[in-house]
This record gives sequence, C-alpha cells and structure tokens, in this order.
Amino acid sequence: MKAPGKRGRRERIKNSVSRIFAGLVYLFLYIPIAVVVLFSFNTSRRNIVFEGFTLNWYKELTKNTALLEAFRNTLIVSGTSTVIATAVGTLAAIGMFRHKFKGRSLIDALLYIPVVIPEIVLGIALLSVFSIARIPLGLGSMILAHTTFCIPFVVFTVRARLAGFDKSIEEAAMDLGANRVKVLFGITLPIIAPGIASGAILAFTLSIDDIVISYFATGPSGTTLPLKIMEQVRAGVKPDVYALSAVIMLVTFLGVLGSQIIAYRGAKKMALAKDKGDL
Amino acid sequence: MSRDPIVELAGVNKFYGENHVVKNLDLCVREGEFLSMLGPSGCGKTTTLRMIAGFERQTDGLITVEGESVEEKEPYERSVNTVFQSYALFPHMNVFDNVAYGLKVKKESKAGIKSRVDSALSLVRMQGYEKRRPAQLSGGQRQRIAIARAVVNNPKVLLLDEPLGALDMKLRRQMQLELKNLQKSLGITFLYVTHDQEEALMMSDRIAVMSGGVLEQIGTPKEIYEKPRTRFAADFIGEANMFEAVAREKRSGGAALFELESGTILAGAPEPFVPGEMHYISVRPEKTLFSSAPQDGFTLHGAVIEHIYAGSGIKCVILLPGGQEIKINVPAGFPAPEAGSAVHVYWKPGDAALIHSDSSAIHNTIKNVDLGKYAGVGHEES
Repeated sequence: MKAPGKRGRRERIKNSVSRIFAGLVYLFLYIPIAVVVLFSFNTSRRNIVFEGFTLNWYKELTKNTALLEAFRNTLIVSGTSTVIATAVGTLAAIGMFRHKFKGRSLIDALLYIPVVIPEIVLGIALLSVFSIARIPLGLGSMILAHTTFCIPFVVFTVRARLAGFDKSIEEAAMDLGANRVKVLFGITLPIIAPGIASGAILAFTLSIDDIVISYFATGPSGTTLPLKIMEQVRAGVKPDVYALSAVIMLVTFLGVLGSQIIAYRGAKKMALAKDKGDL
Repeated sequence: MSRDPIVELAGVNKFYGENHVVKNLDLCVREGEFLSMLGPSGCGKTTTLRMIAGFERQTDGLITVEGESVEEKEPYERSVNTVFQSYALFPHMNVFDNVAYGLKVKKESKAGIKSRVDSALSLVRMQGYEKRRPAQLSGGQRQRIAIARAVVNNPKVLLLDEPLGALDMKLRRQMQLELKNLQKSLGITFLYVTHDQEEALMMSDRIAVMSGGVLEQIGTPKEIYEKPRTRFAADFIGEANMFEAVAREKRSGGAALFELESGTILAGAPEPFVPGEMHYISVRPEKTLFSSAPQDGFTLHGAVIEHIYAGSGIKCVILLPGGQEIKINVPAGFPAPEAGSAVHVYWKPGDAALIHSDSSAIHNTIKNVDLGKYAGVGHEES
C-alpha cells in the first residue's frame, strides 16, 4: 500500500489545487454580481456598508417613469430585431445549406465580419449609413442596427443545427406529396426548431444589453435601458440602478438557461439518433 | 399479371457539369415486375432512380410514367414513391405520423388514414410501434417503417435506392426475402437499385446491369448469369473465366471450334459465323470441368496452382502455359484436382457464353488505349 499511497497523495494535492483554482475563478466572476444583487436590498443610499434589508429600491424603480420608458423601448427594439434577425438568419442558413452557388464561401466569410470587427466600428458605420440614407435616428434606426448585428449569430446557430440534417428527409416529404411550402413548415423548420430557438435567444440577449451600437444608432425619440443606466451612472450610482441590474440579470440568466436547455436537448436527441445506428 | 410498360426512359442523358453520368439510356419497366438496376457505385443507377422520382432533371431524353411524360412534374406530383437508403424518416414524428404523412398531405379522412396506416404497419409486421420515435428503433425496424411509409400511398411504382445497404448481412438476407414476398403480394412494380449482385439475382424478375452510365444488359437473372452479353456483365456478376478466342470452324450441334493463345476450345457458334473473327468467351468456374485425358476439341491444359477448401466446395486455380489463370469450383463430395498436378480443362460447349461482338470490338479498342491518361476522371454518384 506504500506506492499507491505516495501516488495517491500527489493525486490528492493535484485535485485540491485545481479545485481551489476553479473556485477562485468563479469567485472573481460572481462576487461583483452578488454584490450588486445584495446592495439592491440595502437600506443605505451609499453602497459601502450593508445596513439593512429593504425592497424600497424595487418599489422606487416602478415609479421611475424615465427608466420604465427606456425599458419599454428596449423591449421593442430587442423584440422586433430578434424576430426579424431570426427570420432572415434562418432563411439564410437554410439557403446556404441547401444550395451550392457561386460566391457561397464569400458570403460565408462576410458573415463573420460583423461578429469580429469592433462594435464601435460597426456603430460608426451604421450611423454613417443612416445619415447617407437619411434614415431618422430613433427606435427604427436602432431596430435596424440591432437586426444587423444579430443576423450572423442566428445564421451560425441554425447552421450548426443543420449540419446534422439529412437532405433526403426533405426529399422523402416531397416524394410523399408535400410541396415546398409544406416541406419547409412541416418538416424542415420543426426539425431545426431548437437551433432557431437558441439563435433567437442569443440574439435577444445580445440586443437587450447592447450599448455601443445603440449609442450611435439612438436618437432623441427613444433611449434604451442600458443607455439610460449609463446616463444615470455618470451622476453617481443609486441603489435603484442596482435593483434594475438585478432584474436584468435575472432575465438574462433565464434566457441563457433556456437556450442551454434547448441546445442540450437537441444535442441529446441527435446523439441518440446517431447511436441507434444511422451508419 | 399484365406486362405493359409503366415507366419508360428513352434516350435519357444526365450531365453533372462535364461529367456524363447517364448515357443515352433506354429502359422499360413493366407493370408488376421487380426490376433491379445493378452496377458498381458511380454507374449512374441512383441518378437514374432520382430522375424518375423527380429529384434530378435529365439533361435530355424522355421519361414517361404510365405513358405520360413527367418532364414538367415536381416530385410531389409524381405517382411514384421512394424508399431511401438512409430511410429518411421524419425524426420529429412518431411511427404512426411518419407512415400517415403522405395520406395527411393528400387530405384523406382521419378514419381512412388510421385503417390504411394500420394495414401498412401490419404488412411490415410493425404494429404496436405507432408511438415510437424513429430514434427508438433499430436499423431493421426503421427500414420497415420506411417501406410502410411508401407503400401506404399505393404507388404505381416503388423506387428503392439500396434500401438494405445499411443493414448487417443476416438481417439483409431476411429483409430480401420479405421484400420479395411483399412485392409479390402487393403487385406493385419495384425498381430496385443495388450494387449487390447476389441480392439482384435472388430478388429480381429482371436485372438491368449498368456500368459507367451505360446500360450493359437487361434480362432475367438466368439470362444475365448464364448468357452475359458484355464482358462487364460477365465479370461483375459472379465469377467468370474469360477468353479471347478466334472463331475457326463450325462443328455439329451448334458448336464451333475456337482458337486461344494457349490451345483450342469449343463453344456455341456465333450467328453469323465468320471464320477468323475475334470473340470473348466467358465460362463460369462451376461449369468449368477438368480431366486427366484431353477431351474432343479442347487442348487446354495446365498446372493446378491452388486448391482451396471453401466449405460448400473446393476452389482450384489452374495456370495455363500462356500465363492465364482459370478458376474451377468443384462441389463438395466430388473429386478435385490436387495442387501440383497437371490437368486438361474443358466444358460443355453450351455452358460457354459468347460475348456480344460489338462490345468486344469496343473493349479491344479500349485495351489499346493508354488508360493512365484517364486516371482519376471517374465520377462518384451523389
């Protein structure tokens, strides 16, 4: 038992070191978030010491019409651009999957550019397009801007789902008498629905907390929540902003959780189908 | 059973870019028959099937189903159904909905759908699986559902694209018999694509042998096996001893004497008989005989270089003086020549198949062409 004891001890040390390391990483990630949530319940106006528990800031939040107005705008912008980006992105992914055409790899490469270029460049570019095209800045221009940067993300997630898609399934449906519309809505879309849903959730979460691009695309007619918060923070952080942050965090967290669950289920189903011997 | 043509292809060509995949194909599928298209991968058989189904469009030529051109018809407007190699079941639907799909699309009544799906499932012995998803079925079960999903629509013609390709050997043999029985009992015309010659011989009423986009020969399994008309057909289906032979003189009983590099042989006389003409002659190993004494007309003899026990018989290889190797299969229980011994080789003249002289002329030309130049030009079937 001597040799395994020595090796065992080394193993144990290695394990505990990596556990401590992982713990520290998560601590650094989540402590600030936890602090924000904690201080949103603080009775003190100043966020240095926790003095007592209150839900006042949440109550005050509901009375802050400017913030609520910004929240409404955010929902309009994110909701609309998510719907448009999901529709366009899904169709683009299906088209690029189904057909081989000249310049497909070019279009493919061009899709990555909005994802990798700095947001500030994209923001400036969009702003100049809006001014050249004389599109008035406001909610409309913001929806356009958000749709633009969300489309590639939807294309990527839908295309990942399509990668395991057997084209003869569509042919089989057509062979059985379904026209192209019926094949799209009855066969293709239901099968890739998990990919579409996770693409949409990704687009929504990206859009709801966007600042840089929104900053350029916004106009006098409407400001979104993240912009409003930025504005308020400049005048000093009030606990009601903490409360708002906690709410947004909760919504985002639920969104991410939902998309993960859908993606996980889809992956499991695909793995199961492959296991059962399609080969 | 009526034997009218139900699917006809006339002068059909298919190009993929520069690739000429199907070459001037004429094919007639008769109502109620089981016709197999047999050939190696890349021979154009799957492409032909897909053109009949409507997934590919022929570059030129005419395809008719029940006497009507399908040129302008989309796959969903054609009265044929397909069974795919990958089964292509709808993963988001259960077995019942999969089988019912074609009927639902055609807006049949609920009760009608139920009873037809039930009978289709009982036909493939899959009752009780209605609620399962395709992912919860084995390969053989999925195959049955794929067949049920197609036959439930009462197609005039069922197109099957290597439907048993993904199954293991034992299941495959079993499904071959089931499919054959199903075809007989339903009376549906089957157009079956396969690269498995044994499968084609066992199941088919007729076989269309394809190679390089060309229809090499079409006929009953017996005709194809015993009277191959092209070198390819003789080589691809079963084993064959192939000889280049020059016609010399007519003998009695429809036979003729031919001269080879390494001796003389007898085979059926070609019509018309032209002395000095070159022919290919193919003889199956199990029809090839041996003796210790020379036989009338035959002067082939060589050394036994291999003697292999193969369970149901013994396989021997005999080396002729010219360097050609001849295979002989002797059934178990019969005497086989020992390795190292010298034997005379012969056969009944009627067992030798004379290969069509057109194609032997073509093969002669091809033989003299430097094939290396064309290496890598071959195409794969999609």
